[in-house]
Amino acid sequence: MAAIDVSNAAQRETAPAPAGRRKKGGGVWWRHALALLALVFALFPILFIVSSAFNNAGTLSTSGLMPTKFGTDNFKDLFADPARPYWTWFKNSMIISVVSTIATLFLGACAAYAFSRLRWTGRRGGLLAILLLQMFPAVLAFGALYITFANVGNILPAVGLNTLAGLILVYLGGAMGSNIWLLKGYFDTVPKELDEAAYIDGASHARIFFTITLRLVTPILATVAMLAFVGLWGEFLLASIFLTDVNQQTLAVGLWQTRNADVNRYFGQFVAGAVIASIPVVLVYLSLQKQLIGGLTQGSVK
Amino acid sequence: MKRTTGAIAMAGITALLLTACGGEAATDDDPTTPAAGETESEAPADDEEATDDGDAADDTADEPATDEEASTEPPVRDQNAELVIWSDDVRAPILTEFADEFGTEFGITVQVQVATDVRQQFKDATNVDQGPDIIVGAHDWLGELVQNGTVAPIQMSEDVQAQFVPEALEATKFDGQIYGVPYATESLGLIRNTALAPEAPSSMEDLIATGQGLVDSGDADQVMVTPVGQQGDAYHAFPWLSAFGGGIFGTNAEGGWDAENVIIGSPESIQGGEKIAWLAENGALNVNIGGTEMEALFGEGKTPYMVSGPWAIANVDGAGIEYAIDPIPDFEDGGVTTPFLGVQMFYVSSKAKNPAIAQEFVNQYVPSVELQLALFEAGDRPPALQAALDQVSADNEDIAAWAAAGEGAPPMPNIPAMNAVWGPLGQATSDIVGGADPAERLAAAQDEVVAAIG
Amino acid sequence: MSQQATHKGDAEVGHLAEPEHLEYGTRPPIWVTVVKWVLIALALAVLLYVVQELIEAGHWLMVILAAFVAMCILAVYSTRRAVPLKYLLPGLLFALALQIWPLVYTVSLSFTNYGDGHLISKEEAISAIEASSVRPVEGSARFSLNIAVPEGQDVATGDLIYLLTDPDGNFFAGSLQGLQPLDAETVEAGMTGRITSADGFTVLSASEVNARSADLAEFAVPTETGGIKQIGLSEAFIGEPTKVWDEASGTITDTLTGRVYVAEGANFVPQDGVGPPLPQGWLENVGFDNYTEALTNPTLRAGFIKVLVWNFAFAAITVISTFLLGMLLALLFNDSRLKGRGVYRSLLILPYALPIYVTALVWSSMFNQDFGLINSVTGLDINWLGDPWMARLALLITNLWLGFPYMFIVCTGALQSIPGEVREAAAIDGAGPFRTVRSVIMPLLLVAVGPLLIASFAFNFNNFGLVFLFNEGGPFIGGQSQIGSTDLLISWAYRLALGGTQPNFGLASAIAVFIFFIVALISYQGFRSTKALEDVN
Repeated sequence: MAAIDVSNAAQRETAPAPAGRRKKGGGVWWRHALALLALVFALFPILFIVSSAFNNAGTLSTSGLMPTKFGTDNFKDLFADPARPYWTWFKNSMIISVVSTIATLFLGACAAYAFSRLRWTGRRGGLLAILLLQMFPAVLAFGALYITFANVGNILPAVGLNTLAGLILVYLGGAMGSNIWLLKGYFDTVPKELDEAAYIDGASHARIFFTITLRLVTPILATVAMLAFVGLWGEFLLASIFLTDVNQQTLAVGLWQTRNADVNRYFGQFVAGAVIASIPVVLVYLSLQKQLIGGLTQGSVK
Repeated sequence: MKRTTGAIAMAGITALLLTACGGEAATDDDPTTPAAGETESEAPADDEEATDDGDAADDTADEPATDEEASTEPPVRDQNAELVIWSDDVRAPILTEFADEFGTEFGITVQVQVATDVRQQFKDATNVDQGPDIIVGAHDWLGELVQNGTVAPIQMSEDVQAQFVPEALEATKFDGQIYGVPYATESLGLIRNTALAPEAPSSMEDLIATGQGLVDSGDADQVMVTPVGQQGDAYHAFPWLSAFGGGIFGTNAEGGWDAENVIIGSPESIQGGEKIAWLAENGALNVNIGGTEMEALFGEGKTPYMVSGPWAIANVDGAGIEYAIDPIPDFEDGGVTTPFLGVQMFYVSSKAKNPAIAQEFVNQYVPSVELQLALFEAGDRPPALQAALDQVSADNEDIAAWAAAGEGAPPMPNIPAMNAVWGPLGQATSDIVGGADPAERLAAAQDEVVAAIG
Repeated sequence: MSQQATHKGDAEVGHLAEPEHLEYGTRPPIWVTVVKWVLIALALAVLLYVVQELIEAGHWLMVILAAFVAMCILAVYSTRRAVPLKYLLPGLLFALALQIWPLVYTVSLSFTNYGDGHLISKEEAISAIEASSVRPVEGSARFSLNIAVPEGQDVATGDLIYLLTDPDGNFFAGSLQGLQPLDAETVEAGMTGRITSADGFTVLSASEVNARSADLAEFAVPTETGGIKQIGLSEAFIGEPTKVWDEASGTITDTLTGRVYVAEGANFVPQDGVGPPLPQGWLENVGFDNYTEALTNPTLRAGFIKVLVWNFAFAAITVISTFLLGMLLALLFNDSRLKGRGVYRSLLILPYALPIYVTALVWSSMFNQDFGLINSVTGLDINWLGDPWMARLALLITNLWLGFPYMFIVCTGALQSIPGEVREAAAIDGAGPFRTVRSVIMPLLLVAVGPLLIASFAFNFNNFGLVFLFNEGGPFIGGQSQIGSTDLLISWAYRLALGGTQPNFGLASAIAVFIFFIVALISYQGFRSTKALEDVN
């Protein structure tokens, strides 16, 4: 393993930035100040949502933070509503998001490897095409997808409309999206010498990909996983077309429909559900954080 | 969209997605379809756990035939059931009981499914031959459904027709033909915070005076609330607009709405538009109040009056406000405020797999007092069957009040041309509330609507 | 599937191999080969199943396609050639089937009048018109009904018979030949007069009726004026279509009014030009009509430049602002000395974690002039949603809030690839923090993130959902409701194409094609000006 050395790429947590050094007094306080400012910007609209979730009146008031009628009725109603099986939606969302994320990641990483490491005709055109494809207003193509899957369902009921498997397939169509660029960009920064050394040592391309490259790009894999998961978790336009039966629906669709049900009637349940729905995203972020930030050191082949 | 808050409007988006339904279409329809756009839920409420198709079998356990094949996953339509009904989540659980009873009586499998957006999904699914036999929905979808050839007429006998509230029956007609069996009606009314305003106002002028008094004394912040918003809300503006005989469409020889006779810019409508301006000047209408603000203000006890419909009551209750419901008051100079009537009904698909059985269900089961009463329990709307309505009104003040509020109300036009009306008319009313000249603004809206209808 | 674990390197480079590299020289572990072939076999088995189902359904074109895919898989994975394809094929197949195909399909719709009122074929439209025109014959009676077959015939296949009772209590048997009176002596009837059994006939049970529903749908007993048709299972009426299709002349005649309708523009319109067309139209090809319409529509022409300019500004400002904020925050939290970074970071992504249909609603409420938080906290009285410029600003702020966590995550990830020494070197060279960021970090970051910025531009260019949820493109200034101040091309096109009596999805598609070319062209330019492409080479 002689030539494998990634030390220059490995150091990711930057040393104290120069700026910090110049500030007197350690220079961290202003970072905290800025961080707090950012947090205020990020969080204050969310406080209203939380406040609304605890408001028995089921209304949203953005003039004050205190609920008119503080209580947990919304949550109780949410969990007890036979017409809106919250936890079934939750489970469906989990299945769809986790399976699709993993598959997207795998497809994306493979493709990015081909774009970054291998040389073939059409590589450049392919990359461009991937990007340009994103420019078509996707909402318009949903109708075509629906009709297509209605026909698919006639032949293969397991992946037709109203099935989780069918929806997962649709989402995989998006695996060749702009994430490929993100992955490829990062792959490019992994020194080629690593591959070459392994290659010279007689490793096959597959072995290099699975045992060397993938490990070195963990931060970007975590990043893409995070982006894919959040995107899938919140996706409701396509899902609401595909999943008509209430027991097959995802959280995003179910909540969205709850919000629209009988004008504003279930607004309280809806916000309560939305608040709970945001928790998994935060948990996923927390669990990936190590990889997001610290992946390279563990991944380096020394 | 209009009666909906901006966000419901969003229902439109999905609508758009699929086919052409139309930006406004989806949204607006909701006026009468509060329930419709919404939801999902499960069909047979009881088996929410049953994740899949399995349910077809269970709920209709009676059925001998059909359940063998578990292999077919749930496509859009449950292929195993001989009669498939799509409903919104609010009514589905109740409907399931009646459907099961019906299934037992006729020895067939009946499946009630909850569709998330019945109107749109019915169109899409029927288009790919996976639609249901019966849908439960609002009457203003009718024009679009006929246009797409997806619903079949109902040959209701005259004595059955006579059992319904006349306005409700009227709403089921398109081009003189009946297409649905109604089960509930809904309309706007005046919801009053009885702590702030113990007496029902005798007129809009009286309402304004009381409201302004409360605002002056600091007991309230707003004279009255009803959704307007920056884009306006034609559904909620209609009672004022039509107060002096104006409105949206004139009628044709057969008594139906005439898309070629737009009367938005007529002198009568302009007179109504001037009332809108007057209400705005007196603080009863405000472009900064949309559905969300309206509910918050009323729920916090900051206003004595809210013009809204039965769907708003749940949240008023939740906020602990004591309320009473009255018809929207008239104007002292003779303007009569009538809201649109929305009617909920059962449609039979023109591509029903079993038209005879579907017709049997809607013709024999839906016009029963029992079913109408049960559906009333689920939706809190006045039943459309006169006998059921009388029975409910006797011991439910709210329902009696809603029925009174909707008395004489014209059904919301169900012709496809309405799709071209909501946007321009809503914007016009919002602009008038914001200070635009009613005559000019309504004339401009008239031109836009006429151009869009083509 | 990319388990191709051979080591062709062996032979060719063997002579270069130094002793310590020999660990790679051994053949791949047996399990790798096994896994590879199992996966290939699995993929083929799935395809085989699909082909089988396709054959059953008779979709021969699809059979060929599936077989072709199977051959591709075999060719790519069982040989040692085509290495890039081994990595690309799965993603490529999905993209072709689920991205490209729907797109092609959508574009093909732009050459039709697809939309409400034009979803079905002409034949279907005609039968829908006839079916919905059936009315009871004036003054005709209603019958109680039961359904039977002649005795001795199989209930599943026998000739259908209506057993009818008219209001006067007379009994009839109705067949395709017409109505025959029945002797009251031979008939048993229930309380309502409905026949329950009759000599010479076998009455069908409900489930037997159900089994014949297809036959029943076609069945009617002819009478002089029309036909007797069942309503449900227990009632029948004499009805006749009041709109009649005449194949020879290609017209529909309304027998009630005598009006004749002719086919024109995918609808039946009155021959004399007076009155509305029949509502049921049909789907047909319209060639380039939608494209012509998109280019000549007066509203489209009037507002195009204004909307286009705002659309660009919206997309560009959104990308720049979210990127800058995301990057700065990523840099800020990239300092190991900052305690509690984990908490900060996870809270910062919350805006991204909540569904847009909640957050857009909240922001819209906060910008409310009278009741919103923003005016009440700042003490301003800005008409955020009613003033065109303020509404644009409000939309941009909202989108900044919605979009920065994405950029934050991306930048945090991408930053990990920038060697710390680079910054240190810059610092040692005397570059200030600002300069370090601008001249050293940003260029490096842009290489990785540049394409994403372009993708983000494209996404926001078509950010229909946000505009619709936030304020529906409003405010609408100048006494009209067609061109909103914050409208994007796509939201505007939608309103225009789908807001009429006959929403035209074909037109929306045509406009989308134009939008696609505009964005693609601009993006391509932007793309060339970034360094990203050079890197590709």
